[in-house]
Amino acid sequence: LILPAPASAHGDLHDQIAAVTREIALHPRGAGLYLKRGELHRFHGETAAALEDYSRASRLDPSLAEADFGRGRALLEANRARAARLALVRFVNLRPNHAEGRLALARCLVKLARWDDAAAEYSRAIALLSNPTPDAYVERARALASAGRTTEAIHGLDEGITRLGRLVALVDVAIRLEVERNNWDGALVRLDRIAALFARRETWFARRGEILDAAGRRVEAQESFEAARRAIEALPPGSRRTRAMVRLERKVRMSLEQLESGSTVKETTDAKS
Amino acid sequence: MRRAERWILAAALTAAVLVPAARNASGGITVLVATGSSWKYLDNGSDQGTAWRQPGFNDSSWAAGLAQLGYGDGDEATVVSYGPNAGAKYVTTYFRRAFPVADPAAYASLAIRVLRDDGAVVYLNGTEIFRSNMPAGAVSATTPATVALGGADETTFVTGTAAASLLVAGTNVLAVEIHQANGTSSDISFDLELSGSTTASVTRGPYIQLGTSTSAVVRWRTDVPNGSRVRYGLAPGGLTGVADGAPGVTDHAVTVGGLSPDATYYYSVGTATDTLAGGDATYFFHTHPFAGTDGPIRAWVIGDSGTANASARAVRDAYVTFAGSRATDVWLMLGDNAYSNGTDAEYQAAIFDMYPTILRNAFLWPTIGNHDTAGSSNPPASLPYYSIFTLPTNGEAGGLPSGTEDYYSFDRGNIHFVCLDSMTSDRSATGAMATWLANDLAATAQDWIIAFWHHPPYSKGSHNSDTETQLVQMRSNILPILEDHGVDLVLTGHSHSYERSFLLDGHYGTSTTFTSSMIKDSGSGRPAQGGAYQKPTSGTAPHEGAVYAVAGSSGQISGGTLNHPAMFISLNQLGSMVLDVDGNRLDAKFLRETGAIDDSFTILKGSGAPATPTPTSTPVPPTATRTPTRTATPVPPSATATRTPTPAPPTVTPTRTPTTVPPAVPAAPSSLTATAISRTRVDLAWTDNSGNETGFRIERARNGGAFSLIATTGANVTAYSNTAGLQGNKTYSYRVRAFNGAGSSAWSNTASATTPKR
Repeated sequence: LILPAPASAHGDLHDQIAAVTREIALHPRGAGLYLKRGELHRFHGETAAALEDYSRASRLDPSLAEADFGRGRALLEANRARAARLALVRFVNLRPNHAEGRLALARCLVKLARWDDAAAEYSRAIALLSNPTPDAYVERARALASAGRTTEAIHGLDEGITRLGRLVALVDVAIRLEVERNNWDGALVRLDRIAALFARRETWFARRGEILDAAGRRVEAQESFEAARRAIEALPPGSRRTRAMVRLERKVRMSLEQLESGSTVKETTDAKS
Repeated sequence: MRRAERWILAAALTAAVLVPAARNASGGITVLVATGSSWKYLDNGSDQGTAWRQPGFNDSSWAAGLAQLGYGDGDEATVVSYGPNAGAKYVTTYFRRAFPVADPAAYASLAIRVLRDDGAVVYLNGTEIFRSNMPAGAVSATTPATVALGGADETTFVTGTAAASLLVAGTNVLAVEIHQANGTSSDISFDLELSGSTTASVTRGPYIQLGTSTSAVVRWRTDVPNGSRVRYGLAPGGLTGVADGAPGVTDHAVTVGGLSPDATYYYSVGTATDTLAGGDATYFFHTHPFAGTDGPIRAWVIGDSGTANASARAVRDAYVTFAGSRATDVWLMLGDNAYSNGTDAEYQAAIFDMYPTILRNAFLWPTIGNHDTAGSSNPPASLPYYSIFTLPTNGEAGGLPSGTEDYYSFDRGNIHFVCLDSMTSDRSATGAMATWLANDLAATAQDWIIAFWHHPPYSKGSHNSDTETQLVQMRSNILPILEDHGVDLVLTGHSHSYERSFLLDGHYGTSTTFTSSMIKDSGSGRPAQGGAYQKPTSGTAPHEGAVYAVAGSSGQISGGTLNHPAMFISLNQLGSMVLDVDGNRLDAKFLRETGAIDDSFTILKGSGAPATPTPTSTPVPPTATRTPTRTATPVPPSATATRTPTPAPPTVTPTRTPTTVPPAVPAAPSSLTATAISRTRVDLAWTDNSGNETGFRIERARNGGAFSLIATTGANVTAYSNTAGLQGNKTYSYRVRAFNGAGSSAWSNTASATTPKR
């Protein structure tokens, strides 16, 4: 009988670490080898061993900026953001056009709640990245919004929409921010544009109703909720029974009842309902 | 297709897999140094420094002998010495060969094939042109190889390319150093072939990407920059269509548009004047049918396959043999596609040299794993993964635009496939990926939803889903969105094992929070053994259950406790998954590297689900327009190989002896003991009396109540720690039984334990 083998999914990493260690024995002053082993330790989640190798690499070759990059990422992954920031700042000072380094620094600054600095780093990273992801734009918008710079946050999202296309991940955040600053028409324009891309619009109708109700445009809100109700009723039974649709239908019904009774609908419908 | 024809085609496909990609040139290849050539060699354990690599080095005192050179395997033409001590063999053995070249300008590129056991570095006229299984940087006589090769890897030639500009008119010299992995290793081997190509050669692909109902992207790489032209048509002899891409490049990507849905197109790649590859009946792709179309769809699923070793080859060959003439419509790759760091060279070895014939016919849809980014959650845009694959960012193949290749969706037939990124993207419930996912799922009208990514939500294999961040976040933040919208099947890798769940819903916590109420169907999912998993609604509906599978053993196995309570079966075996979807029926199989089927399950939707298994048909290559007619041999759903026997595959294909005899029901385990270790832990042990079980099922009853299933283990397991659902000062009774494809054994004895108060 054979008992299950022990877990060793990183066996290949162990092999690589062992190979680099053998190399280090032959070339004990090879800074690059320590950096390489540090990276392997970091991939393996061995933060202490990684930091030790990065330090050794830096001592052997003080100009080896990548040791600071590795150190910063290892510290950030270990939730030691304050120390990570020091290493990452040193790195980007030496490698100012390193997009990934700036992105890592931006995320580190977010962890430290340094919103303005984080937003600036995100902007530098986005400018340097050949293919920025939606995440980078969303994270920058959140940093700016946290700093109270909502208008700039929205402009940043628009920059992303221009570059990446009308992505729901970007538009959704923009609508929320427009609502936050009571720019009802701005929110509605964005909503209508993204809704036009969808064959199914019941969620968008409901969200439209909430925005209109928050804007005090109750008649239009009622029309939008009615449109949502009709759209839900027109769904095939299978689609209509989804938990999301059941929840939305209940919400729409309650909203219509509240509007008829004169009270205000609380905005809760989002793009993930 | 008649069986005889299926045999021939299957054998041809298998054999073609073994042809090195570098041999796909259109012609004009000259072998400059052949295998089996005579080489000078030095086997005295000395350190030759670097001078020996130079063409002018005097090697007249060296011995000479024919390749293969080496020792320890018995297949050497020339046996070299390893020194006086078998326990401390020489690390490095040196080889040199001079060869003439009259006109170096006649060659556009060089291709090299090397048999090396264990590591090798090759120099041409003093310049390094090839390195395998050796560390980066300077190499000395004491530098060991990074890998100790064994099995089929010892007899496999690895390929590379070199610039023809290194050749000189007159005498050229190849210098090779072969390194042992360690002084106790039993053998070394060396042989080499160097060839020159007088025209551009295809060194990668062609491979097809981003399939839609009207288009496909054809990609390939050449050794020298040249033009990009795809010729295509509805018959191999009628490639009347032309599509051009960028000129003067080595990495070619050509979008072929204006195609008909659900049709087979043949193609070739090359330039405006030359055809470099393709043009025959083996180069084809099949465009997607219109979204929503019912019809048989075959998907092949491999995970953590990027080892480029004999295990990956065995898994591949088992699938090629299994598939026979059936084309692969969808090919999912679950991450860790190229070990260890996802470099371009590693992708070459792990994908392009590994699956050349499948790549030219099947649309490949990958996801990104931790090894594809060298462990980085913030990889650079220059990451090879991004440049190698062409993936939808703008809803080109159906689904909602994601704006990134990190995560995307596409439609094939009546299936909506969703690829997520558990490595580099924000995994929070409010992140861009989650927002996109919710809207993407809300927008689809497809009958089936199949999601795939790398890090599994449930695993007790070589990774633990209770403790690792990516796994926890994907489970707690992403699974609720998927289940809200009726996901049917979730495929992941990362753990190098096969773990497959019951039909589940609503399990978003750690394994200790798993309860039987989260199991929608506790059966096997096998029609012949208690029934398929039945989802009431035809089409998608929320929370009717999904099956979660970890299929990360397509390149290696790494064990683990393999006892996640959500799993119906957990196996520490090499293999891949094969999916067949037809209308409202999904059949899934775990296909071992031996060709055996160690697990299968079926999901049926709606009341009109067919009672018979899905035929696995549609031969390749069919006529220009594929019809949904199914004529081929059905694959039975049982756990053992009972399909129509296939011929013995050629050479390296693992031999499987098909059998039509079902296995016997396993013998019941005995001598079960239960020991309360703490308030929350009871350890079980039993005697395994069976040699043919697939695994064991463990049931528990509290204080004399009814028994219910708490865990399923793999084969040969004789112990289990129950750490979920226990309270202090309670008496728990346990029983165990073995199961396999034929059924379940009788129960073992019942053993009880009372947990302490404190």
